[in-house]
Amino acid sequence: MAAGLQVFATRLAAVCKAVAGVAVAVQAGLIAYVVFARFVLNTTPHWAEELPRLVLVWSAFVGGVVCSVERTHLMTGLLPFFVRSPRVLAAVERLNHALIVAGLAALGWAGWQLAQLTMDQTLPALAVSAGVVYLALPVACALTIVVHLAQMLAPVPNATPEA
Amino acid sequence: MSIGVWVLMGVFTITVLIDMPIVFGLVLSCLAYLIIFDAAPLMVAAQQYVAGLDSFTLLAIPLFILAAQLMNGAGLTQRIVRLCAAIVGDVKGGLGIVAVLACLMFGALSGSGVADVVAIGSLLLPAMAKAGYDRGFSAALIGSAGATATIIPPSIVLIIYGTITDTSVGKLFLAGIIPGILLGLSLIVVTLWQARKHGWAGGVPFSWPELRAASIGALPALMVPVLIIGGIRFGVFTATEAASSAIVYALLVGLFWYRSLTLRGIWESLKSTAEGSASILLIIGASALFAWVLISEQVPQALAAMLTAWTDSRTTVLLLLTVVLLLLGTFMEAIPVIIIVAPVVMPVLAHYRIDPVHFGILLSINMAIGANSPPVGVDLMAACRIGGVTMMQTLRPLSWMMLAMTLVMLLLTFVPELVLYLPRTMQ
Repeated sequence: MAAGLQVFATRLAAVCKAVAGVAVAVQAGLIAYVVFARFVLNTTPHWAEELPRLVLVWSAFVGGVVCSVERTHLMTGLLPFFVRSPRVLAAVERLNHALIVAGLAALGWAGWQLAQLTMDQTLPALAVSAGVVYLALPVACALTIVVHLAQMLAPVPNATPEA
Repeated sequence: MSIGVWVLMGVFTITVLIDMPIVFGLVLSCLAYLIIFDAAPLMVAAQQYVAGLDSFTLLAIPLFILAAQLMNGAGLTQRIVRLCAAIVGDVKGGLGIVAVLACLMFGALSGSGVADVVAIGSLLLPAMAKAGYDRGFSAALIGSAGATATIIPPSIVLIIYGTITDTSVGKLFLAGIIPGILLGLSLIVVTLWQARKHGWAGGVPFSWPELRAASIGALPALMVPVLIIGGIRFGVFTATEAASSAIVYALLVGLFWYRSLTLRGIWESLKSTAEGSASILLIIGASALFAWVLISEQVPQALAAMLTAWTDSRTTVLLLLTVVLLLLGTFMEAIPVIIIVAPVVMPVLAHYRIDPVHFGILLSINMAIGANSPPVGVDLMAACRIGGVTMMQTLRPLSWMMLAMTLVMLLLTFVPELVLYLPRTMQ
């Protein structure tokens, strides 16, 4: 099961990276078009702020899944300064994953409730449901939970017994 | 402070100590606070998190990162280094001066200290080692000079500070120019002194034909700050729009002038930007949630009351905040420090009539120093990794550079005009 989860997490990262990359291109294209429309066409599109912000929120959350897979989230790296034992370090890492999974489950559930609550409201410029913005959070939490479960269940690399 | 604040801070500190990614540490500590004290429904946490990154100004972050990636991919970094080498010539310690100047120039394209260190360090650290420079000195210099990107426009740190405190990003950008140059000069002084002491060689002798050729080669790179600063200064663009214009410019230069940018390169830049900006943006969202808890616990008011009862001196308060920020910057990343600290100190700034633009620049310099302070100095770590040295090897030269940067910060604390002169020219 652990191996299957890891394969899934790796493929998930590739898909999320591609989606987030396209989203960045869309953001750049949208803002460039807004500048072009303002100076050349003398008009500002009605979606000039709302649409790029919506894409930004989704790209940040989807890109965050990639950061979890590739372990590129910012962290302090203090632990190895006062813990030398590889066994203890591995145990703390598993504890981290467990806490993250629990936290993301709570946050994702809250995000899902919020998305449902705001589904009836509409974004003024885009006339789409406001829940679409908040939906990014539970989706990203669910995907990230899978990634951290895969990392938690993975065998510890170079797990040598303590001297 | 209430017990709720202690629980929040305590849980967060534990997550930091056990090396949990900062974004999750912020979220977990807020969730623990909300659940233990039943302070608000968890939906509020979700709402605050999303609202924290649902901002038009924050769009500037991925866009500036993408612009820098494209310019680096187009080969602008090498041309900047060549231009700096042509300017400096064979002055003793010349390569070190080239490193500082190149970091200042590349910082004006990237807005990120780590990006600056990686781009310039990859080119210059091997060359400095070959020329006989002490490896620890070189890594410390690249780390410190790269950190000036935190102050020089289009600094990502300043964009975040402006968004959080509702301060004009355009004014912050202008305010960062003189302090950025002063920091660069202070590092050049340290470099010249160390080079004379150790007899480190200069580069190739100065020649006008080389300077002309290098200037023409680097001209497109030199136009980027003009586009960004000029566009914002004259009210043509917002920071976000300036970033998108920089992307269009980078594409035009890379595809049609240098012809060095490929579709594959663009796609890799997009994916790399998506990942890099996501890690920053998610921390911003989580820090906004964290700051919301601090504000709802009335921490800013408590801090302001404590300080006003203690002193009436604006300078004393600024120096006190500097000490606190230096300590925080030593153990934490710049972005969460800014997002957590800025809303908390805003009432203090208002009470003491401290200009938020002035404070924003001092905060950024603190973070630049923090980015080079072991054990969590990200810029220094990046420089050490590229230079193949340990942090311990950098400590002696680094201490001189930290001292130089701290002296500049003190100068800017006591002479606010150096920071505020340029933004006051902006209408």
